[in-house]
Amino acid sequence: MTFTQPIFLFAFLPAVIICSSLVKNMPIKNLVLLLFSLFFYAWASPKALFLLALVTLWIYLSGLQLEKESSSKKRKWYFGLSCAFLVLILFLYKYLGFILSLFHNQGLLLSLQVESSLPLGISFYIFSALSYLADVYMEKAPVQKNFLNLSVYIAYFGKVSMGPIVQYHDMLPAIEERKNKRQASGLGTMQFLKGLAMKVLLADQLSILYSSMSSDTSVLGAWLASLAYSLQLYFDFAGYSNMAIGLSKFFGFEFAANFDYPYTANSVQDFWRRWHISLSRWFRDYIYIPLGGSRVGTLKYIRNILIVWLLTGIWHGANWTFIVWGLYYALWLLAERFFLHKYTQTLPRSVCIFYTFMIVNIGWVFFSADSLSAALASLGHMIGIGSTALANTSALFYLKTYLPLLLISAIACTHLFHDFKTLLLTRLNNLSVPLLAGIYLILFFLCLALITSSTSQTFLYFAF
Amino acid sequence: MIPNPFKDKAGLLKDKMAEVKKTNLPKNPFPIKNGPEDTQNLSQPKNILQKYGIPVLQAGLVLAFVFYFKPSFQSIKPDSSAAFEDVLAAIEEKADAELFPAQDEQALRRYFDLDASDYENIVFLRQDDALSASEIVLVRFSNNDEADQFQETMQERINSQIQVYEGYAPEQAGLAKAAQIEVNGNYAFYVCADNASELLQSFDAAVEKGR
Repeated sequence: MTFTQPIFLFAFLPAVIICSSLVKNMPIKNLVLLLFSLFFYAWASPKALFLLALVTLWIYLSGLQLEKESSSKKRKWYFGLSCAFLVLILFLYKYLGFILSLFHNQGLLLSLQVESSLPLGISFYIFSALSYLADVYMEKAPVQKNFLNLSVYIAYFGKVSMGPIVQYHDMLPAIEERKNKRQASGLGTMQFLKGLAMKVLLADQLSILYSSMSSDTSVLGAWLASLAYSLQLYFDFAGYSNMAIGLSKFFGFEFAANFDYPYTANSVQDFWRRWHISLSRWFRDYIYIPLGGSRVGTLKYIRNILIVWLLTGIWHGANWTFIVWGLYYALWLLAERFFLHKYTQTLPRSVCIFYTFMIVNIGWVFFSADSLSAALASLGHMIGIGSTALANTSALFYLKTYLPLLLISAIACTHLFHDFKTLLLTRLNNLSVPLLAGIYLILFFLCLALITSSTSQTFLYFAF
Repeated sequence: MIPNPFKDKAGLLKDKMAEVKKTNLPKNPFPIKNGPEDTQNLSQPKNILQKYGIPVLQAGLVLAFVFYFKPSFQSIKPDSSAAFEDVLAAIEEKADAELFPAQDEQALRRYFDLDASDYENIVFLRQDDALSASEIVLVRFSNNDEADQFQETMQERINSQIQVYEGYAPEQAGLAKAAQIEVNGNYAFYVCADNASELLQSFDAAVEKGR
């Protein structure tokens, strides 16, 4: 079950909202939310529910043990072992197949392979589990003695499958005490519908352009494919995040934004403050800062950046393309810190935005490719190396057909729609609310028309 | 108020039980040197449980995970050096020659959207009769990474055949449902036939000869 499926929109979501609002007692409210969350998870993969329960129980017990240990050395060991088991689970599911295939390709270790599908949301909920252990170990939050509360933190359906990776200490107050406010629900509805529109009206349509152009070998075709993917990935994941954050408001959860107009960033560093913010924060708080962050010598700073970005690349998947993609950003961030910042500060903002977008766009070529050779071939086609033509009839046809969509998508990447909404609210006073409600209602019906016509695609980040 | 006739008796019984308990306590085989150390020794079993209870439970969780994950490991069969012609001959020996004439590469593209040049060897056996679901594909990979894609393509074919025949030829749909796909080292075999299991056995035996 995904957020864009009719069964979620018309059966699951209304049912969980109604049941949750009928209950006033907090433990029962959490129990209702947990049962619905487990049902949501089991719908996609009943077998993987066992792993989700095992991880939750593991961190629950680890938390209790960490509280008991008074010696700091023992606590450190226990924390390390508890985290190691979680990382091992992630490794076995996500990376072992890749490692074995490397040996296999070298003619070694021929007799073993792993046949396991990736459990839904494993990278996201393992990172949530690690966040709990780290918060307890670093005493950012107390040990959770209520298993139900901890289970809600890990399994809550609004974030279990694709994030956002909300840190435990941020979510804890709302797990223990929250109230459903009408105003929050109203804002939540708007954010949910905005996310739905980003996904169904933009991302899913851009995916058609991407899949049509991804094998085109002309220069124009290669550029169209890369642009379509950059935009699709943004509207897909930011759309999902808006839906998750919006629906969470119904249950009294206030999650921070996961995207902040990333394609208007004026440097690579700025981009990563705006893209997948919850993941960047996770790496910053639990890896980068404990390593010393930027308050260390130059060599250690370079080491820290390389480690964090190598891990960010690896987190996204077991493929050389993700490793190269992570290191690509590490190099750009180091270049910006040591050389480029002098120039970027003097350039006009629009030039900086263009420069950042080009770097990001090239980065997504590695991200989307099946292999390094495919990524390099696509990059080659973009600059005319190995391309069959500057533009062929197919690429020209798709450019002409999809130009309006590309323009609307480009505008939607900026603050323009948000500013328009603010303008409506301030200028039209009484008329603004029914007008906005009408606009959102039209968007909703448009989305429904596309969902029921089966053009809706699955979310890209499910793969991670 | 009526006095309770058992009250005194009950009180006596309580005192007596306390006395029995006291006298029946086992004697400590070790002499007491000082009080606090002795009480620590007496409560040791409880402390062990308290101290190691959580790690023991967690060890159980690790074991549970091992059993849960273990089936994911599969052993890869090594490549076979059996000649493609020999494996094909072994299959054709058990197959009805009328039902399974060899098709050309164009048919392979038309029916499966497969390019013969992608594989070291590939053969497609089927009648031109559209009313028959029976068909065979035997392939030898040049690279074992091709196996997953091949399996997917064959599975798609099975699904589409089931859909095609379900409406008007239920027995052919049944054949398609019982179709088998097997990857064995550098060989793979797709079979949709009355005697699919028998053909599969012949395939396995012929491939095994090359190991």
